[in-house]
Amino acid sequence: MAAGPPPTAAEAYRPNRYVSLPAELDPNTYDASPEKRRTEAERLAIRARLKRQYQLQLNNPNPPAIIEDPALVRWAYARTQNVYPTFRPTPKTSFLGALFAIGPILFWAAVFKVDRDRKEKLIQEGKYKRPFSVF
Amino acid sequence: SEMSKDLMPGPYPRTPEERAAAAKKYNMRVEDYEPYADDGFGYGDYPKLPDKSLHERDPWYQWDQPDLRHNWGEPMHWDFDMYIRNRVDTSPTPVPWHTMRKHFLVFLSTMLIMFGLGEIYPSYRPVGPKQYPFNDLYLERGGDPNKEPPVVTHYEI
Repeated sequence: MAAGPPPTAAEAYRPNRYVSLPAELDPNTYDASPEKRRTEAERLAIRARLKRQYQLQLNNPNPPAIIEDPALVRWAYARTQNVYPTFRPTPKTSFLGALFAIGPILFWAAVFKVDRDRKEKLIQEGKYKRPFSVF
Repeated sequence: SEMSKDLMPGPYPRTPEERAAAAKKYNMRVEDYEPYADDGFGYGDYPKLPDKSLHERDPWYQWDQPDLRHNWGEPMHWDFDMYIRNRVDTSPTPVPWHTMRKHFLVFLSTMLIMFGLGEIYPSYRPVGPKQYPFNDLYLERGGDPNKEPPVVTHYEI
């Protein structure tokens, strides 16, 4: 089987969860097609509208005490109060819940029991040397 | 807070109309809006933004909040507090990640194997028992000064 064409620089880089592809190697940052330009223009329109709202509040002669950011409020709400209503017990969530909530308790109970039983057996046989003995 | 219920995050959007409304709520384009998978993990309709840290954002742009490199009203990543500039950095590295990992693991495993071998098979110069002067420290060990100390020689000729 003949080897394929050599990997491009972007493929040779292999970006993953911890590191992103540099912009110089990313084909998406190269020459923009009309669709790309239109999407960028739409994004810019949204950004400009939000900037205008913010600047109007900021440069108000009677500014409000706090200019609250709705994105921040939504972020905090989503991570705290919106988790329980949107949670649903599925096989995956039940398995992970059992693994991380019940698993450590059972594991450490077993570890301590086995360790204590071993020490008790050694003491009964008289082979255990007390570490902090006063004698 | 004082914001109305329809401006707050809600459950996973099922119909295209709910998707469009959620995109509008989060100040995103409908094509850009992509919620997390509906696995029951508690994400709801929160958008799934690219996992890029704030280190990668343009340092020269006039952000509304320059330290957080964030604009007012812009949707924040779910792990925003992890990706701030004091914490996780996902910016591209000069050397690819797999190369760095390979070099690090090769070095670490070599050093650990050599240290392990050194523990199992120690190697040092030959040593003999320690030799003390003055007849094996006769007086210092409480020997009688009036008596003749036993002569100790550590050599053979």
